[in-house]
Amino acid sequence: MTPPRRRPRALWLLVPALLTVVAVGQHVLATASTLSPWKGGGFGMFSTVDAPVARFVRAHVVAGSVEYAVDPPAALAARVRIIRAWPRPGNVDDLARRLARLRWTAADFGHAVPTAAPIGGREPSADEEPSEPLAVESVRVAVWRYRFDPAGPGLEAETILETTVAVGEER
Amino acid sequence: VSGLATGWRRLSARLARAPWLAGRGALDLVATMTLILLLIYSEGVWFVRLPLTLLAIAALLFPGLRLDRRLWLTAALVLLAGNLWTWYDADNHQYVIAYWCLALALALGAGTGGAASTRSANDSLAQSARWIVGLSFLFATAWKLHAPDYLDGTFFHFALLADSRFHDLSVWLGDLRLAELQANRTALETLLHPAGDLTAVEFSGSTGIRRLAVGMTWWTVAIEALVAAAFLSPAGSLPYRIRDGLLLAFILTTYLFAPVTGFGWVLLVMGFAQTPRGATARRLAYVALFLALQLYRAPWPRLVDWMLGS
Repeated sequence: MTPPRRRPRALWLLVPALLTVVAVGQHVLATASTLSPWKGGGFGMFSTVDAPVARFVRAHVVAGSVEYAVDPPAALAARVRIIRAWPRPGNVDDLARRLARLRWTAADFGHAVPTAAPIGGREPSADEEPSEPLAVESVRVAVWRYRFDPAGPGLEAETILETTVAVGEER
Repeated sequence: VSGLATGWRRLSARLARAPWLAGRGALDLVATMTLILLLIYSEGVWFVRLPLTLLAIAALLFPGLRLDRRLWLTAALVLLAGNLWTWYDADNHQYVIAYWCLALALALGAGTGGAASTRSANDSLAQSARWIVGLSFLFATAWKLHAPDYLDGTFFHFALLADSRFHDLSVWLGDLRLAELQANRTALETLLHPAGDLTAVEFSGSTGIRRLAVGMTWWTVAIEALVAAAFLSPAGSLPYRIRDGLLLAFILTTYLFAPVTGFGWVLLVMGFAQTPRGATARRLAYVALFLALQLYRAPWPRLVDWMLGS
């Protein structure tokens, strides 16, 4: 009969060791770079306003002399969420390049700022003039975060990262 | 209070020999509570939710699977892979649940049938649970001490004004009206609008909110630091001896207002797992709170207001 294999008694140490490595790594990354303290397994939730929800992406396509605000399409939602959790030049630049590859048409979703929507994003209604694609020259993507000032007006936003990609150079 | 304490002691004495509070029964209860946690609170992408739900249902239906380490190793690997894949979404408790499933897998050997191996598994789980709780609270405390906007009360001030999870508390104890909270919400949405160009918005507040925020700030960091110190202290020391009271106090006070029941549950399961044999009252308290935490989900402030006719 084969005797039952004995496991090392200190095997349980593996879990606290893994937790510590992840948490220390997260703390270092969040302190030294733009990783949100809320994400990455470092137990920084509920310690700061600087959560991914406090970060937001503003993207613009430039056509002629007009800057159109654009909402990244749903297909890029995961990339936007990654950027909000940990914006880095690489992933912000990648988003800008992906937006530059899309074709845009002027749209209006009820805001004073001119806006554009990706072609194919919605069907034009029957009484709507079909829009010509915009001659987009460049795409600008900025990552912002707000801070709360209890003594001031409330929320104040600041830019964390910004990049501009010229159309034609996006590949 | 003294009547409640007497009743609790009597109930504990009566249940001291209950099979589900000691030995293999306790191990089985820990596994069952964790399975319910996985079944109800597994979050994230489908390839995490689906296998975890199937594993949990299978082990709840077939008790023989509950203490099978292969099941727990699979659950841990699925959770760890899920956390790695969606690191930008995963919350702290999803990491803790993954670590806890891994701890279960490591504690449960192939021969869990005998009394010696059951004791060994219980001891291993207790060690893991103490370290996971202690280290989680240690790192949570470190972040609160290190963050630039925590100790001055800014974080909780903002949360009370803008986070819908705290709205009941803001209205009940912070003298803020729902209309003001709604106005804050609208201001925030305006700032975040993809076509927006604002760089600042105004928020409504109150002196009551400010006071409440300062109280929550210091209570939270103090209780978290105490739990960390107690769970990481050497066995036999005073902080170590009061660790269960501190953890229960944290859970009782925190999850009443921050409804992250999944986190509360995993802490309660680990709290139960690390209590020594014979600590019936404490084990019972963890189980009772495991059930009671669901009651926290009711909209109590609104119910009280409704009952008072206000």
